[in-house]
Amino acid sequence: MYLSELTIENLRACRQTRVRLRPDVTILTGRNDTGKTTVLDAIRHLTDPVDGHRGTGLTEIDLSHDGGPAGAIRLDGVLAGVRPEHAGTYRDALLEGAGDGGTRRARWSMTYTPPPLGRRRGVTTWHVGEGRESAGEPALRTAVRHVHLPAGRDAVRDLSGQVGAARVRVLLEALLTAPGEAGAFLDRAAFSLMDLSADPVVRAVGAAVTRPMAAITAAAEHRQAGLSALDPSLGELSRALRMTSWTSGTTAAAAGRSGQGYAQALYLATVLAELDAARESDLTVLLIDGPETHLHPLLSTVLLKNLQEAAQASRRRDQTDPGLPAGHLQIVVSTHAPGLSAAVSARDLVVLTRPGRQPVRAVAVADLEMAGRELRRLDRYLSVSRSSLFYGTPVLLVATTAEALLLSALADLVLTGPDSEQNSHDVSRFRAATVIAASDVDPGLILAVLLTENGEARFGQRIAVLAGTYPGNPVEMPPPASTVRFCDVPGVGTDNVRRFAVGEPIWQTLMCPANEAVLRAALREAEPDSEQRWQAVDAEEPAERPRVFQNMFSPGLGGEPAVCPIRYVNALADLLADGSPFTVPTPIADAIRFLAHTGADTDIETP
Amino acid sequence: MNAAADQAAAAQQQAITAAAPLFVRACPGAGKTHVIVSRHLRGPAAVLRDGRALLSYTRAAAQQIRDRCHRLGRPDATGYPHYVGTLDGFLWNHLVIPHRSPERPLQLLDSWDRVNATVTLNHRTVPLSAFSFICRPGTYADVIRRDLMPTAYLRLIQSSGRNWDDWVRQAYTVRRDLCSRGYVTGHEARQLALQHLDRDPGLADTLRSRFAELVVDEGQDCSSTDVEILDRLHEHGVPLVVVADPDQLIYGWRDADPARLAALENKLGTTIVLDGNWRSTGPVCRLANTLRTGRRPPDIAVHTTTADPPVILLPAVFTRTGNRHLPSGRPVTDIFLQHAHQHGISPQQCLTTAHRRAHLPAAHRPNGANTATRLAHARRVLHSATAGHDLLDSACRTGARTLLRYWYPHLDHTSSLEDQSIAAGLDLDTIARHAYAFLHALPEPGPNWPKAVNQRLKDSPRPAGAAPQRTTGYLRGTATLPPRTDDTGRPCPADNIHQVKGAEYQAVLLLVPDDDAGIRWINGDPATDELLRTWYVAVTRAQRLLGIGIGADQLPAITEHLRDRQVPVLIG
Repeated sequence: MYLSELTIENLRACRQTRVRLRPDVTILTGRNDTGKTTVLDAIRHLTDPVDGHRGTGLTEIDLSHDGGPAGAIRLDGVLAGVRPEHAGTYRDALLEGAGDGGTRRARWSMTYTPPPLGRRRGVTTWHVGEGRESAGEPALRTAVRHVHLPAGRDAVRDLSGQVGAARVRVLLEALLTAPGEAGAFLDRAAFSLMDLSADPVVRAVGAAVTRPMAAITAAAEHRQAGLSALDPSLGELSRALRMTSWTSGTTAAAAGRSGQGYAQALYLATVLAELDAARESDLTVLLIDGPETHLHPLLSTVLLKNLQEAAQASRRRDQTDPGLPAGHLQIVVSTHAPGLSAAVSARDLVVLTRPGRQPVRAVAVADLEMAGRELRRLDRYLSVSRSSLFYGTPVLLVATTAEALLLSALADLVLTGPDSEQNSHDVSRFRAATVIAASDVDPGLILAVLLTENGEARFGQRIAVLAGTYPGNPVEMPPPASTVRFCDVPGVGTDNVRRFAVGEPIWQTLMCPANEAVLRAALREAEPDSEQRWQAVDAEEPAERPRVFQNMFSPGLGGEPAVCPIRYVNALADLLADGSPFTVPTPIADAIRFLAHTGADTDIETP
Repeated sequence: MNAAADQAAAAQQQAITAAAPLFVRACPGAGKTHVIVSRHLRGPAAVLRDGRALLSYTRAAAQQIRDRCHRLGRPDATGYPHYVGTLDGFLWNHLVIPHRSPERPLQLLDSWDRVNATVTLNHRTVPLSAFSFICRPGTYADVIRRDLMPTAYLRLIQSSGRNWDDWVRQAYTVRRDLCSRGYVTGHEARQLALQHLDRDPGLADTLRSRFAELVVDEGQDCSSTDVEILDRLHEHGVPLVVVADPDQLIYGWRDADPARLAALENKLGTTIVLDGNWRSTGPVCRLANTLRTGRRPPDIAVHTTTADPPVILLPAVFTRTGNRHLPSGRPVTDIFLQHAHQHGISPQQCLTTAHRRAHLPAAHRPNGANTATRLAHARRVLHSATAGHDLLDSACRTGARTLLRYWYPHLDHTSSLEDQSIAAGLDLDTIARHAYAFLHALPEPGPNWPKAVNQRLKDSPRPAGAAPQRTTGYLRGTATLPPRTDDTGRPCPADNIHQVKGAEYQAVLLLVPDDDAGIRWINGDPATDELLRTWYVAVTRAQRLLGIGIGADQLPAITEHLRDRQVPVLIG
């Protein structure tokens, strides 16, 4: 079973947000302040924490204040894939209809009504099924539990404090289930501790304290002092033992000495081991906010892969005894790291967005219902590119990577105005754009993903398409199949999806009398042996020069090698950085300004 | 709004603001819930005392009030110090529980069937629930009403060789034994409440300190004991508001008494009449008026128009196996659905109802009551994947009893499921979980079904402490279930009149199979004839379209009678 759907009403930025969740792993992405943590919090409030320590409940402060007064916070969850072995627990909350093997869905919700003026406590009520009021908390709240790993958590402190001790205890108890096993273990521990108590150093400490102790208590009752191990119990031992980790050839080190990164990994490992050992609930939702904090990209990617496998394994276990909890695991991660989402399929992504500071919407890639083949192609691309396609940034679609480098070099020239601070912001916005080269991926697929209408919204970000055209026929001529193919995709030409006509390839667009000197200097810098090819440019009339200049990027008729575009662009960028004058062609300047948009906050476009 | 609406709204406003004690006589569709909730929400939010108890007769009605408070953003109005629930629950919590002795815990059952209570004499067994215990007014003693015993059990008793008095004595003995074990039903709880109220005047003081007002909805459903308790509360100065429609008094067989209700109305002093009907059309109101006592004008249909459909009279033949529409030979419901379709009403909004379940279409009649049939029915409920919470819970309970009989043969299986689960060391939820899985795994009933069930009993995972003994607890007998309803979709709703009380549907078909329907309708007095009041309840469920399926021989007289009373009718 898994939490398949969450509806959040009036909780902070989520005025009316429906989030679809995946059975194993769901990656929540989106800009800051788009409600990722709010989604995790909603799950926290709807379910019980595994350790039983309920945090602060909802308060008035959590009530959404955007877009007018809101009456109450309402959080609604749907549990899907409930098998007949487990469905009896949820009999008062089942929804109509059954799936394969008689699986059912169950719904529950909580409503928090803030207190009237002058009172401090609001009212929380629970409903189950199709909106029937539940007397007290429904079974669902305790049968579905969560472990919350908030962002910036101090893993070292958690591992060495009470939380860590409780986890060690659970692991010990899970291993000591056979009759007499716990007793035998405690006996062994007692013997070890007795040896320690008998050590001369420990005895010496006792003697040192006994002297002042005897002096203090002499008038009343003569007392002695000493160091000894207490009667071992699982609770005492759990507190005494510390989780450590080490690499081959080194000795064990406490979490604090391994750095926050490995402490984080160790903490997550103990959580997973605990959940696997003590399957106390039908479903545990592991909520991880920003797992990339402290973790190397490799480690965070591997971690996510492992979490996914743990969730899948929990579901594969054939738990047919109704008397036992199903022990399923589901992972919900909130992240800003594109590398992390590359570890799972794109269909596990849910993008949260607030177009123009509107209420939050959640758009799931799974809702696009892409064909398996298309999804695999997209997954392969994301896995290799680590592209932040779904992370709420503008998108620049170009023919080749060299074109992207060129635009980056030209941005500083274009984004100049009287306000230097503003210029700096504009350049930052431009540089945040996700670049997609048509040479690397089927751009039709990417555009389809970005622009397909998806219920309430679409991924379609501010997209600039630098499309190739032929001179003299810039509009009618369709671009070659090898480059950008977007003609049939809806939305192109709207305010947020703009096409900028440039040469195919782009080089010819750069050539004009004002730029000739710097273009020639760049060639000299990039390909010192090819400078004689510039003679062909000089030999032509100005109108023909762009075409001839462009030809240099292809092998010459006399067998001259093609100029390497990447080397050339880098050389040109160096010259521009040194202050060489350059006139940026209009379509390129427009594209740069478009991506550095300074107007309303851009976000996923609402159709 | 039209003048009728203005007038109806003004009367509602009066009922909302008038001070208690108060009697509100509300016609069907008068917006009682609106009045009760509005009256309630006029009070300040977040009070610590001076709450209001809103008491309904059914859990569904109480839930409706709670839901409305929630929708209006006032969930606080359903919590302490207020009380929104059933009258039975209120009496139990405020008048019975405070006097419960710690040595003698009480368990409230909704029926003696919950503990499989039976009365046995001369190898004949009758469920204790078939004996109707009625409180003798002014005393704390009961009588058992023979006239309320189902005919099948009366025959069994007659064939037992023991007389009625022997059976009555035995029934009292069985009940006394159960009560001594701490089990009570609503009837015993009411008696206890009355006793405590009489013996401990402090109880009323406690109620007064917490509640500024007690609002009792559906007051006409109160039994004589209920009315007696309300009467005492009134005497003790607890402010009462009773909302009732005496025309809808259909629980005479459960000891509801129109005269006692009228006496209470008089004692309360002020009566406000709500006769604006916001639910039904003019034709429905006019027909309903022919089924109530006194020559009163019909209730005012607030939303009536000249395009309202007439009442459709469907001549029918009723047999033991069903009914058919006389001209066409097809089931009456089918013909009515055609009429509803013409008015744009979907089948899901068409209620078919009758005084007794036996007169409803076959699919809605639960047949037989042996264990195998009950288990087969529970399996069907579970597999339907459309059953509501109550049905599903009941199905799981049936499955749980079967499992417990097999797992723990030494348990007392005449005790409640709750007690059995405590004795077995299991929590009820775990047993329900096993029961759901068990019921789901059962095959479709057919030949050798008990054998398959018993095999499943043997193979199903069981709790650690279960100790089955060979075949003890095995299922025996044959399951007889009515044929499955059509698979084309959900069947249109149908239930007996007592079960649809308080509901409303776009269209209602009332089946009247009684041979003396004409005489009763035309010459009977609804003040004394409860069947007429029952029909009244049925027809007032209709919002737009009303159909009456009636014996063809009864039709001419009734048609003429209705036309005399200006009811537009159409013979369908």
